[in-house]
Amino acid sequence: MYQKSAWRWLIYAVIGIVVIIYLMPIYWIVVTSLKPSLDIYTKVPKFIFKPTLANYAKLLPGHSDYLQQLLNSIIIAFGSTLLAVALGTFTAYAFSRFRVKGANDLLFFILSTRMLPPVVVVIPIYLMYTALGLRDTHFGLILLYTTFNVSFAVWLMKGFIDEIPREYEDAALVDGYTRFQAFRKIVLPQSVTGIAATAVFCLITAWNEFAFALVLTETGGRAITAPPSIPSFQGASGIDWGQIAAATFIFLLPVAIFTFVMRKHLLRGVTFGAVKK
Amino acid sequence: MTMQRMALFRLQRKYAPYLFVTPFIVLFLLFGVYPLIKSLVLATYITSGPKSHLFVGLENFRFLLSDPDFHKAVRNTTVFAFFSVFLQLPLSLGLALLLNRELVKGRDFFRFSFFSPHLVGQVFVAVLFSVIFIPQFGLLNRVLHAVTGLALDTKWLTNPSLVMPALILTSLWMYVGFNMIYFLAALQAVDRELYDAAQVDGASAFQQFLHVTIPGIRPVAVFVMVLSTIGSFQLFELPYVMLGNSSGPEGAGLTVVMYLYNNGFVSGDLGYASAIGWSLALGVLLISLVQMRFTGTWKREE
Repeated sequence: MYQKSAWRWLIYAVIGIVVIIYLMPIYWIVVTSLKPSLDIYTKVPKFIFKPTLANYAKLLPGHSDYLQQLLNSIIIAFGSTLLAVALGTFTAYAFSRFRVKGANDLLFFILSTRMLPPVVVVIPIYLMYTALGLRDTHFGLILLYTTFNVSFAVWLMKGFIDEIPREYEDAALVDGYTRFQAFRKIVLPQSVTGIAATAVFCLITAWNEFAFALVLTETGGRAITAPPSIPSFQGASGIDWGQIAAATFIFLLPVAIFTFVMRKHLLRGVTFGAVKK
Repeated sequence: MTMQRMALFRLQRKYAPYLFVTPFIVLFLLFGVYPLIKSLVLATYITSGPKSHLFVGLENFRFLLSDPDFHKAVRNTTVFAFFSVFLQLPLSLGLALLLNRELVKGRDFFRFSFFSPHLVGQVFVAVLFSVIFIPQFGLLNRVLHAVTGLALDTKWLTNPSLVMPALILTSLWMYVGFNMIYFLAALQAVDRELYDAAQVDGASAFQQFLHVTIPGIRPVAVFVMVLSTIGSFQLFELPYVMLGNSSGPEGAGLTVVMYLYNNGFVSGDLGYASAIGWSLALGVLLISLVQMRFTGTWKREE
C-alpha cells in the first residue's frame, strides 16, 4: 500500500513537471501581454506589476492592421473548413454508399498524395494564382485550404458514414425519398460527431497554415492572414514582445474556443479516425 | 410507381454517385495532379521570374548533386529529422505510459494542455521560443543557469553549433505532447485480457510491456513515426521565423524547404526550386516506404 502511494506521487510529480513545461509559454503569453513594456525587460522577472491593456491597444486599427489580418484568418479558416467538411461529407457518402468505379484505387491514390510535402506544389500554385488573379484574395486561400483538407475530410467522414446502417436509408428510399432527401434527413443527423471531429482538424490546419499564406499573399495585402504577419511585428526599436504576446493571445482565442466546444471529438479527428473513443 | 418515376429513379441511381464525387475530383485534379506535373515540367527549366525560362533537361537535378548549399540543407534537415523523431517517440510513449495508469485522474485536462502547442501553431511557437532562447533574459538560460550553472549568455540562435539543438528542442516541445495523444489512444485500445493472461503466465511488468504492449501499439507507433518523419523533413516555419531569411549563422539552420523558398521566391529561379521540391518529395517518399517495409506494416494494412 505504501509502495503504491509512493509510486502515485512520483507519477504525479513527473506529469506535473511536464504540464508546467507545456503551460509555461501560455502563461508567459498572457502575463507579457498584460505587462507595461518597462516591466517586460527586467533582469529578474517581475511577478507583481500593474496590468495594462496598452499592448492590446497597439493592435487596434490606426496602430496596426492586425485586427484586419485576424479577420482574414477567421474568414479564410472558417470558410475553408465549412467547404471542406461539406464537400468531404458529400463525397464520403458517395464512396460509402454507391459503387463508384475504381473508388478504392482512387481513394488510395488520393491518400498517398497526402504523403507528399505540400511545398512541391507551391510554385505551380503560385504561378497559377498569379495568372488567374487569385493571389492575395480570400477566395484563393479558401479554395486552397479546402483542397488541402478535403481529401482528409473524405477519408475521415467515410469511416463515420460506413458505420451508419444502410437499412434506414433503404427504408426511406422505399418510402419515396430521393437520394438527397435520404442523405439530408437520415445520414446527416447521424454523422454529427464525425463532422465535428473533421471540422476541428480542418480548422486547426487552416488556422495555422503559414508557408502558402506567406507566398500567396502580400505583406500588408488585402488577404494576408495572421501567421505570416507576425514575423513582421518589428518596430524600429526591435521586436515589441508585449505587442506580439497580445497578438498571440488574441490569435489563440477563436481556435481555442472552437476546440474547447468540440473537445469530445478532438481525439478522433487528430487520430485520423483511428481511435473511436 | 409510374413508369416516369421508375425511369427517373434509374437515372438517378446511375448518375447520382458521380454527381456527389465530381466537385471533389475536380479540386483534386486542379490542385493536386496538375501542379505536381507542372512542377516536374518546371524542374527542367532554368527560370528567372515567372516570364523568362530556358529548357535544360535534367541539368537542375545534376546541379543539385554538386550544390554545396543543397548538401548542407539536406544534412541539416536529416539531422533535425533524425533527432527529433527518435527523441520524440520514446518521450511521447513514456508520457503516455504514465498517463495510462489507472490511478491518474484528470486525463482530459492533461491531454488538452499537451495539445495546446498545436492550437498556437508553428509560427507562434517559433516567436515564443525566440524569446525563450534570448541570452541573459530568456527563460531557458535562466532555468539552466539556476539548475546547472550554465552561462547566462549562451547564444542559442547565433552560435552555429547550437542552432540545431535549439530547433530540435522547440520541435520536441511542440510534438512530444501531440504524439503522446496517439500513443495514449493506442494504449487504451490494447485488450486488457491479454495483460491478465500474461500475468497468469507469470510475465513480469517488463515482459508484459515487451510482448503485449509493444505489439498492441505497433501500427500506431509506425504511423506516428512515418508522419513525424514526413513532417520533420518539411521544417520551414521554425527556422524562417527564429533565424530569418539568412537561415542563421553560417547557414546552420538552412533546411531543404528554406532553400527551396530562397531559390524560388527570393532569387526567383522557380525551375531550380521545383527541382528541389521534387527531390524532397522523392526522398521523403523513399524514406517512408523503407520505414513501412522495415516495420512490416505494409502487409498488415492491406
